[in-house]
Amino acid sequence: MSSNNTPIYSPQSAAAQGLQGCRRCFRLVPLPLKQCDFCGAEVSLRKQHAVQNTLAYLFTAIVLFVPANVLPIMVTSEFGSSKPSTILEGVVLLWHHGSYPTALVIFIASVLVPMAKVMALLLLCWSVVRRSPHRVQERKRLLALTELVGRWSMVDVFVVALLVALVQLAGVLTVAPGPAALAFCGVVLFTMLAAHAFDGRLLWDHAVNLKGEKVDHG
Amino acid sequence: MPGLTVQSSMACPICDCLVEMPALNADCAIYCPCCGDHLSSIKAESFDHALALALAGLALLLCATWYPFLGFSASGKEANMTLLDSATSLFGYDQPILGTIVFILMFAGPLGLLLTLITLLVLLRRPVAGSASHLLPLLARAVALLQHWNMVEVFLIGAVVSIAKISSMATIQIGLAFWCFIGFTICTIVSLACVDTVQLWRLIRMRHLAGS
Repeated sequence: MSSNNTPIYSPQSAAAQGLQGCRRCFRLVPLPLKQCDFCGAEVSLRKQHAVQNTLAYLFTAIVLFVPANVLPIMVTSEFGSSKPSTILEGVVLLWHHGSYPTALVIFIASVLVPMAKVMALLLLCWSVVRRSPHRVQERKRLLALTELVGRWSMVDVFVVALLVALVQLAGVLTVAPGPAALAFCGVVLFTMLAAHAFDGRLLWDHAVNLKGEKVDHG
Repeated sequence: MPGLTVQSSMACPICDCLVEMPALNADCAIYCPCCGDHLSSIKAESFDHALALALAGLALLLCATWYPFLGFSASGKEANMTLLDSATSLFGYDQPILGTIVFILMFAGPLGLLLTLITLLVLLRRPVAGSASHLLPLLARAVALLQHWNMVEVFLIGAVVSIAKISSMATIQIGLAFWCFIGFTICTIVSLACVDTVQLWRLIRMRHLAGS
């Protein structure tokens, strides 16, 4: 970061007092220390390279999102003929069978949530880089929501694991995992890592204007 | 740890606001004055409730592993699976990485979480921790890590979705382990909700100061 990008901390923040809040044990650690003097966790005023790390994990997730949706997530073999199906084909099939709630759960958890999560984190990163002072409460809620729903995308991976274990009637009906299962698992884990690498405190730093006065947090 | 003192304030983990922590009485909650987020709350005997629920969850998890989880029959053929089959059968299809991830997320992780949580809460219950006091931060750290990657409730929804997905193709028998797993999921979630992390670390620090 260049010199005109020196961080501005809100006057009420611990960082303005040179205190680093330990992310693990909530102890306030004075500035020169790099480790918490109680639990030994790494401490800093703000997570180092939070935006870069978040973006790195996000791009990994975006790259994995392609094979996760293009390749088959499972292969169903019925009486000798095998039929591979992607995530979306599975949703469409469920919809045609009339199991609308199941189709919706899979569609929301496997398609909507990962995409919304990636977009939300990109938006948050962009707002931090732009030092946006606006809508802090909304952005805080967006980050909390991202962290809350992230794990739910794993539903599809567990469904594949369960079906592979359960549907094993040799010659009649078998289910095998497809290559997309691992890729999709990667999408979920990397978006979770991305959300974890982000530092929500950055959102609040720019809620002060250049004179150091607090802007309405509204 | 020299010069360790008791601190009466903390930084809000969400917005980094410096908050003076009042001496909390039972059944009180404290919220950040800047961002309004919940910081900490004290409920009478909540750690005892957490311990009881974690023990119940552990017993239910062991039952859920032992008994048949789901049964499946079509065209006169029948197949049964246990909970662990959902991870091990992936190894049979040359997916060792996926199998390992699923095994950790739905069995090893939650089992480790309950074991560390129970150890931590039992040690905290004893009036004099003695040599165990340096173990407490380590255990609390393990609990936080395992809690972050805990996905038992997601696995449960996955099981429900799987049943809905194949119930049109075949007859499904829901095994005893399935009901145990539902109980285990509820116990684990409620137990974790009973443990307030801020209060947990406050207790560990007090124990540490008393021991040194």
